[in-house]
Order: sequence, then structure tokens, then C-alpha cells
Amino acid sequence: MKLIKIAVDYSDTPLGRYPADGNFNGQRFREEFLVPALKAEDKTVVDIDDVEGYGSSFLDEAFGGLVREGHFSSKDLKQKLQIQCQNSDYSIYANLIWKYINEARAKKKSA
Amino acid sequence: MITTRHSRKSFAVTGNGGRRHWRNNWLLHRDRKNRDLRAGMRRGKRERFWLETALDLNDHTRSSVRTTKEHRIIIDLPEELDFEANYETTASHFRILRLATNLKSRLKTLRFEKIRYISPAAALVLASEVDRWNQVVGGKLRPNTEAWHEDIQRLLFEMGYFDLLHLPQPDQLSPTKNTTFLKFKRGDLHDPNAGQIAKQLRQEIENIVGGSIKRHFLFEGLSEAITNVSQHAYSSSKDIEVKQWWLSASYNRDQRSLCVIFYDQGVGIPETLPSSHLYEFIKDAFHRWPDSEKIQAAMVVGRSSNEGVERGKGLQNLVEFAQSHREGVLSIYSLRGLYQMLNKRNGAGPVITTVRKDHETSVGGTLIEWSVKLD
Repeated sequence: MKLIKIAVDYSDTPLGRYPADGNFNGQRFREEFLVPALKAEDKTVVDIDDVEGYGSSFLDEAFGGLVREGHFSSKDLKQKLQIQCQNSDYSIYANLIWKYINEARAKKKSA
Repeated sequence: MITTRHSRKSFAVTGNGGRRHWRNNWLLHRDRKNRDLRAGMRRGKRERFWLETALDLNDHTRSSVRTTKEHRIIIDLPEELDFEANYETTASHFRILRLATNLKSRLKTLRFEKIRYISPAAALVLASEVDRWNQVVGGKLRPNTEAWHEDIQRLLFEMGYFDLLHLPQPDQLSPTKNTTFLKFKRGDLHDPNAGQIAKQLRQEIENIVGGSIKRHFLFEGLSEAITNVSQHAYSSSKDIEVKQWWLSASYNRDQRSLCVIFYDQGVGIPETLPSSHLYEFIKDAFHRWPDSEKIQAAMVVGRSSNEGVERGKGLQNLVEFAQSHREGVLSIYSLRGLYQMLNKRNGAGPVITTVRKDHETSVGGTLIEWSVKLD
């Protein structure tokens, strides 16, 4: 099992979707942290507490992007990914993460 | 006698000739004067025609603009600059300021003397336009602050107009009693430290309130406003020279109301929202899809401005800060449209109402205003 605490391992001020939006964007978090952990481990726990807040662009790109970019299906993620938070204010983000994962559709690969 | 007659004749000839000569000279002078006058009038008309065209003058701005002998432009700002109460006049004056800036060195003076009221949102847009002028032309519009109304001097001083534009501070002014301001902030596009900047803004806004606010909702709103500028505002605008955003905030202690305003001079939400259905495409093609409706469409979760990228998700964060308080208003002005969401909680739960409005003149980008009542 792998534990990723976003505030400690990545940034307490995650922001934006792409590298152009800022250093600690959703795409980078997905590609450098989530995908390697999810591929290497049976279970990955992501602790979302203690950050300033999460914009939807960050959450959608980091987590919804796992499905859109074809790394995993939402069914796989239900088994492999766990979102953890102690602070009740942050439970809204846990719900949003699963919403974005469930809504995401894998992009069609061009021939 | 002969001499006398001759003299008389000579005198008579000279006299008639003199009068004729004088008359001819006078006619010549009058013709020349009339010709000059006509040429002057033609020049004046040409100048005025050029001014009307270059600055796209309308009924709200026609009497506010004139030129010097050196053909440089002087703009008089109106008595009331307020998007809510006096939208067309306010936006039209900012538009001519933008167009005058595009003419580089043609703008000579921007006169504040007539202003008696300026709203915080209008003050932010005004500061951004003067800031743009400074950056594009590389000079400073030096204000004659002594001629300004004292309330305007005080307000712009407290809002950070002089700091933002590196202008000399006006002499001693008594502070505003009930309102604390966060001085104007300016941010660059694609700043790698955007997250830290959003955190710092959140902290500074918390400082003026003097207590804790719903910090993660505020951070979300600020971070999405910054992300929105980075991804969309200047995306298809090769001719925009200054690609920045501006922010200001104020807190009224008596009313316990916090107001945060964010502005960019980009292409606007309506320009970056594609028609996702055939009927929207047709409405757009026939100019029957107003900007306010496009802003509303962009607020709907799942609408995309780039294929596969869901912009509505980000704009939802703007709503959440207003919705997380007992009373909150979110106003989004983008190009000619206004979309407003009012949230008021009563015993039965939150009551949310929305307002849409379209104007003749564009706000010149996107202006987002949150106004919330703290518990």
C-alpha cells in the first residue's frame, strides 16, 4: 500500500489543470504521483487534508484524468484508490473526486 | 492752380485708388481668412471625424473627449463611475481609454476632476486600464490630484491606485471610517507560483476582515479565477499586449460585508464558449445568442471551451464562495453580458435567484465580483 499526503508530498497550494497554470497542477500530480503509485501498488491511499483548498480544475485533471487519459477505468480505481480525510470540511472534495472519476470517459485513441 | 488742380486730381486719384486698394486688400484678407477658417473647419471636422472613428465615440462619451493643438487626446471621466448604476457611461469611458492607449502616445491627459463617485469595481477596472497604458506606452499619466474631489482621492489612495501605478502619494487624508481595503494586486499569466499567490491573497483578504473566513472556499474561488485567466482569457488573443489580472478587496465592518473583485482584459467567457448544440450554433450565427446567456451556459457543469476540458467545473468554484455564506452575490460581467447569482438563506434553506442582462458596451474582458455577508 502506498500513502500519498498531498499537502506534504506535493503541495499545500495545488492549483490549476496544466503546467501553464502553475507548478503544482493536476496533470503533474497525476503523472508523477498517482499513475506510478497506482501501477506499482495494489492500493493507493491519497490523504487530501491540510491543503488550502482544491479548485475543480485540479481535481478533475488529476483524478478524472486517470480515466480520460486511459490509465485506468473507473472500476479499477474503485478497487485501487482510496481517498482519506479527517477534516469534515474536506469530505466535499472526496465526493468531487469520485464524481469526476465516474463522469470521465476515456478519450478515443486516433488510429 | 495747375499744381493745385493737379494736386487735387492727384489726391482724388490717390484717394479713389487708396480706397480701392484698401477694399481689394480687405477682400483679399477676408477671402484668405474665410479660406483659412474653412480649412480650419475642415481640419477640425477631419480631426473630430478621426476621433469619433478611432475612439468609437457614442452619446455617453462624445462630450468627454477633445484634442490639443498637437492632436493629443484629453479624456474627462464622468461624475459617476459605477457598473451597477451607470453601466453604459462607465464602460464606454473605459473603452475609449483602452482605444486611446492603442494609439500609443496620442493620449495626453485623463481628467478625474468631475468624478464624484466611483464604485470599487469601476476603480479596479480604471486602475487596470491606466496600468495598461503605463506598460504599453512606457510613461505615467501624472495625476493632478489637487483638483480631485477629496472622497475620490481618499478612496483611490486607500484602494492602492497610487501604489499600483507608482505615483506620488497625495497629502494627508483622513481614513475611511468603516471600510478596510486590500490594495490593488496585479498578477501575470502563467505564473509558476500561482498556488502560493492564491494563498497569499487569501491570507491578505483574511487580514482585512480581521478574522477567519471560509478559507478553502475563498482559495477555490481565487485559484479558479487565476486558472481561468491562464487557460482561457488570453488564449486566442495575439493582439493583446498586456496579459495580466487585477484584484482588489474591501471589508465593511458595519455591514460585515466582504467584497472581492477580480478583472482580466482578455477575450471574455462568451468568446471562448463554443456552441455545443446545433440550435446554439444557429443562434450564434445569427447573433441571437446574447453574451449573458453564454456566461450562464458556461456556468453549467460540463460545458467545454476546449474539447475534453470541462470549463464549467472551474466556474462552479466561483459560485461556491458566494453560496457558502448567509448572504452572497456573485456577479460576472464578461464582454456585453452580466450574469448574477444571489444567494440568501432563510429558515427554509437557501434561496437562489439569478439575473441576466446584456449591455451595448463591452466591459473589456471579464469582471468577477463576490460580495458576501460574514456570519
